[in-house]
Amino acid sequence: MMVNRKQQPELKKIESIDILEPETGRLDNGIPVYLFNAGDVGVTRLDFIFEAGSQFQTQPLVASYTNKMLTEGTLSYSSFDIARKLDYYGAYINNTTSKDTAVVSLTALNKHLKYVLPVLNEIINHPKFPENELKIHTQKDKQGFIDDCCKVNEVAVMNFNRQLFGSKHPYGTLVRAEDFDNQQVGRLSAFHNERYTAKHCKIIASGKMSKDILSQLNYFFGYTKKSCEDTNTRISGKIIPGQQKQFIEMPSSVQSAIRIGKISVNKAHKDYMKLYILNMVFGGYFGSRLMKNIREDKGYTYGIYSILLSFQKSAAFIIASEVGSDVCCKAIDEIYKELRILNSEMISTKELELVKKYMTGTLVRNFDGPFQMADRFKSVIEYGIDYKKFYSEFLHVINTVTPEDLMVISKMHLNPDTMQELVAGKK
Amino acid sequence: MIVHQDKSTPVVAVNILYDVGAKDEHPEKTGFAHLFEHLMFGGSVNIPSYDTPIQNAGGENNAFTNNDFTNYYLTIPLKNIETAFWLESDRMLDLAFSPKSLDVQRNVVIEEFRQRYLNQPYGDIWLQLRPHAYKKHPYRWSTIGKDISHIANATMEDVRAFYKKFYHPHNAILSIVGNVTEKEVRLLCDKWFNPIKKGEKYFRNIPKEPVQRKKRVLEIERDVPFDMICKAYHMCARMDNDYYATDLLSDVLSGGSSSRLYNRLVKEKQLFSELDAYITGDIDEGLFVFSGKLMHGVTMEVAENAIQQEIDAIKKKKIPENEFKKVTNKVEASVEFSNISILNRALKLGISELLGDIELINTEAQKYKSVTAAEVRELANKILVEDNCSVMYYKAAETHKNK
Repeated sequence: MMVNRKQQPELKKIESIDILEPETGRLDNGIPVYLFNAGDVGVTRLDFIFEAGSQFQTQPLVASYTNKMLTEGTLSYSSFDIARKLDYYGAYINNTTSKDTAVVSLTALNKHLKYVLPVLNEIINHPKFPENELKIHTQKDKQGFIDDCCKVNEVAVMNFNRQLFGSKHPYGTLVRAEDFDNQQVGRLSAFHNERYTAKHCKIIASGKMSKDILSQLNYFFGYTKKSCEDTNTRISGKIIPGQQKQFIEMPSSVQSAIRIGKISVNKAHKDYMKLYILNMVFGGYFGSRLMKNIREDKGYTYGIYSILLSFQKSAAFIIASEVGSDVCCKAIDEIYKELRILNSEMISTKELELVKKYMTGTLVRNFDGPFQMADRFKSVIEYGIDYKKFYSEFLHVINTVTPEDLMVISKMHLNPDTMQELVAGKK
Repeated sequence: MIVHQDKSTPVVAVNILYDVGAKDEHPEKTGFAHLFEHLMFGGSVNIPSYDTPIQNAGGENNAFTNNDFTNYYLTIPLKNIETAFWLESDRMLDLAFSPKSLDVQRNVVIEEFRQRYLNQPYGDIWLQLRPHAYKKHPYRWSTIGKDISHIANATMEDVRAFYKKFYHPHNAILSIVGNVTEKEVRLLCDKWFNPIKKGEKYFRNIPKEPVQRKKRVLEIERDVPFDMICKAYHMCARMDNDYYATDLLSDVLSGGSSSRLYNRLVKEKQLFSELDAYITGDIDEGLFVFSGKLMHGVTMEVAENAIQQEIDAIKKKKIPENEFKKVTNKVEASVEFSNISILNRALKLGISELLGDIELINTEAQKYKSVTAAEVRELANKILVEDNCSVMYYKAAETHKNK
């Protein structure tokens, strides 16, 4: 049998995605619980999501150290006890703090869940924030931070946030080395007291779980304090974008980090989905225009991308790359050239079709299994969005959006003249 | 060809492992296996672009190269699985070898070299440590290459010869995980891969690393904020009986936040901001590495002595039962966690087959479990000896320290 190797095998269209609705429940103190009970692996993941991100802090790093120090000593256990117990059962706790939320994530084998839940209870409800532990962590983290300050990419990330959101808004916080020295136990424990309460908490459980998971959770977390008066007044600053262009010289670098972007719209905005698709065309995947031009045609970089970052109170569109210092200016010119093309020439049906198919496939992958679904759910819940509705509509928009629609979006949201720019390195 | 049926997923993972890594490169043409990985995306004989059709099919792909092998992987909605066979078989059949692609990918790889190795503080550690620890074996260079000029000078002729030698059915392992049966996959293989000429099996003839008989010391200075120390000890090969015990030895020392090194040297004594002990896990004889960043004001001597004390402790004293149980439990859980992803399972199947034991994916956890604490201690006494050590003092330049 001779096969025709020139011809791609027939493609099947993806009409729908299986989106599992979570079972929902509530603990005695009102904490909502969302259960994604599926799959066939004997593993459970519990995500505790607190509205305790950096936007709620009054001093830099307080939100992230409050979260990080939860595992470093509690009423009944020392830091070492906690580590040893978790390691003994092969369980992992991951603490991540973003601008909006603080997440404590536990991953454990089902058969060990009952042994680690009491530890998780201590961590979340009874942390002690020991002084010496805080000192150890801040001092070693400070060294990591100083290392990061030698990396063009890290310097660009830190400073571009400030440039986009300005110094008045909590999203524009710029961390300095001395902030590590200034951490105080009292502040962390006050922040915990105020934000790690039932009122600010949601739980997402995923994996193949036993039937009594809800009652197990209620036993340990149904008594978590409901709420606490918000005593800490936060910085309630406005977003006032900083300078249009910024250059941070790092003379010994052989590559420069580029950031070009602007404040944008978040997941709750009516244009979000279309802008997301437009971003995909522009710099959101390996076959994007930025990659095709700046990496695959010019060879200026190992990678370039653009991204639409959504936050509760704002959003940012950011183009990012590290390029050879010798070609930095040329790369920037090419980026603006691509932005202008996006603003003036209609996307061809062929290119849009490709992006649509790629995105549909990505959606299928992104709903493969309970952990993936929990991640998707987690990514929209802070916006008060119904997740099933959001992703069904997303699939619909992907299938129906036209080049004309995207031209309107491009002119409105990605005008090259409104972009801010930062270079860290050498020009 | 290996198939693992998983009925729970709408996606299928397709993994092709080529039995060629940086260790198969000529010493004067290093970095080739990795450069070649980039060229595999530059179009094949019948298909001008690899990426576009896969994106059209809703798939996602990538690849990586290490010192032992080169691995290409993709996930794609099951409905479109045939596109994966069409693409992968065509680039196994023959490449397009466009001069433009070679030109551009040379630049891309040079930028990758700069981004990962030159433009990061401590980025060149492995570029230094490898030739320090290995004198004969080709593990002495990194996958990115010994010297960037090797990439810059790569010719089309070199590239073609490399392809002919390594990229053919005889040197490839295909593994598939998803809701497919062996029969379905066999049909697709018959259609797309079987017509490809088998090629000549490549038999490698790699020089064995001579036994190290004396401690080696290397001191270098770089423009970084803090001092760093690396100690590398030669260890066994991947399929050696000692492999699992060696891995567990690194776990006792450094696995998780209850481990010895973290608690005693990072937290109690506060000598390091980061400290790890790990194995490279290479197929041929690999390295057992300690690597740590020193806290400001700590001297190399104090840091090295502190590591030595922990080494002495594990060599002399029995590992408490509870501590050892903790380590084996943790490994058991990690194995379970790593099997969640279909892509990971496909990769593990490929590697197991490459190692000559396809059952490894199922027996791995048991092999760890059957190691005893006494064996781990014995191994510490065998490997962690001074004459077997290559130490590197990676010093922060004075100019930087004063900043």
